[in-house]
Amino acid sequence: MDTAAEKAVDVGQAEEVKPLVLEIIPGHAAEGLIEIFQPGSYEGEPLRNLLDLALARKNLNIEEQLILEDISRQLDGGKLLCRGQEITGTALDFAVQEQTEAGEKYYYVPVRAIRPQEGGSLRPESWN
Amino acid sequence: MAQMNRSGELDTGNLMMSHGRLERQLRIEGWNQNALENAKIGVVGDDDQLASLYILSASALGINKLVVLSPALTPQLVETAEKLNPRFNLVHIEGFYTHPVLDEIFDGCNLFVDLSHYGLCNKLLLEKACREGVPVVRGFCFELDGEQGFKVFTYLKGREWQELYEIISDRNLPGSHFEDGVLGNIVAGIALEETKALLMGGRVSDEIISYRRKKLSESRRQPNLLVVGAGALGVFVGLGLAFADFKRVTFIDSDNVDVTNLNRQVFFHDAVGTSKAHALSSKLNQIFDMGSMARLEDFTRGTAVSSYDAIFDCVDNFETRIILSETCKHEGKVLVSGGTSAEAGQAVIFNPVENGLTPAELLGFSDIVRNRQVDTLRRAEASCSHQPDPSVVMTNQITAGFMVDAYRVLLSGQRPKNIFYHSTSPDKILTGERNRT
Repeated sequence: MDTAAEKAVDVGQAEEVKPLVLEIIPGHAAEGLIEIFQPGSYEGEPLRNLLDLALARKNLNIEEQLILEDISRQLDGGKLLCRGQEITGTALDFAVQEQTEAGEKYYYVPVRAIRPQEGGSLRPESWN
Repeated sequence: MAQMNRSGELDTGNLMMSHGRLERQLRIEGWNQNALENAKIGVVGDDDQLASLYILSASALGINKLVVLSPALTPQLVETAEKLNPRFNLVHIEGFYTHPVLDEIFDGCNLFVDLSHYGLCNKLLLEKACREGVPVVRGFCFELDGEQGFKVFTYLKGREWQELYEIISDRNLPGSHFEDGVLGNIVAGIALEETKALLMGGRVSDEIISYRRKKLSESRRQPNLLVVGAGALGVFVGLGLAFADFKRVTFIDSDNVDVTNLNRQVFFHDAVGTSKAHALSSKLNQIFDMGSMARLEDFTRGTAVSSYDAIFDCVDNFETRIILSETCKHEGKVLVSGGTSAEAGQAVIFNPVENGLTPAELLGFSDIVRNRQVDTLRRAEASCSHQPDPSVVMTNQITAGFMVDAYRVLLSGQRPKNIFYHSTSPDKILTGERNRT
């Protein structure tokens, strides 16, 4: 549950050519919206730009559409965070290296749409 | 929910008090207070703090019947639990669960809560649970290979999974074990979340809920701490700081205790109408000889913080959180910020030495407040009625535990992580991300 993925991309690994798997997860959900970037398309790009691209995608299937709606709900008063931290820099700053069962290596960046909790303050009833 | 007095008449005064006390949770959609009030729960423990913390928060939630088998309990916490809930009925049997002959103690229980640290008890309860089809919520703290943490798992008949190996203690018979009141607070809160889910027909966690971090090094420092807000989060942060043996603590809050606070602000049963900060400080000083102080005022931009080493943000609104973040950044103070709802919470830490983002910057509180102001103006025209958010004891107990633990981690020279908790999600505790598999 709490396996902390440290920033695992050292210089040697970063020079290898691998695709990037970006997953945008609504809140604490187990699965999110996945976008795959091929080598050459993401390396110099700020992560923020890649997220904008992923969230603007139109050709979503029904399941992806539902996840996107969940993400939008979280972002209404929430923020995109990567491992509980602000998103700055490129995707490689946050990436960990993983591989498929077939042994294909890729970089993985999980980003969560987190809505912070406030407490018990008085609010207009219609908000609840 | 109906209550009779000794003459067999409906005790309307008690009933109104009970409704008022529980009002903030009764408003949660799908909430079934009767399921909690009519349940009988069997608890086994060998750590007086952990079992007592579960008893305390169960009483606050409105659970009325507990049968506890444990060599000892913390008398002050049990006394508080009994005063908090007039209908609370605790049967405490002193001892260990080491033989099936003790089975009948737990006759009629809807579920068992196993907070013990000896394998014989774990196995006996699992066997009984499997045979009788009664669930077991298992929770414990551990220290192993230079790490400390906790695990919670719910066993239901049919869940004879590999996970069971991870929740059975290595040592079969009772003996010395790792105890930690701060982590125990979190375990008690999560075990109660699972209890509530079982009793209300909700979904319990499929996986072991776990948390671990490096062992803390001893710190002889006694930092001067300010806890802003003496409500639900403040109460459990204060309790955690007391367990962690912090002595120089000041609580600041201008609010008075209201009866609707009592479902989660566990130390205020005898303080309705009086200052929260004063009541909390007095109670912790009385129980733990803490030596804390109270300031009966709001935290504002003018509040002096220079004498404090760290500040705990336990307030209930983003506006004050923004002021706290800006103040701590300007004054170079450690800030541990918490926030809760009825089902979720976050603990976010700002360490000025690292020059990172404050909680307000990281979580975008200013944007939320700005957007809300526009929204409020629009909605104010339509409705003037206001209601407080629903709130329960568990998320406050859990979030406060993570807040105090984060500060201990920092004092120990390690780098604490921001923690996001959600009671109904598969990944309940986010401290970073799991690698994909």
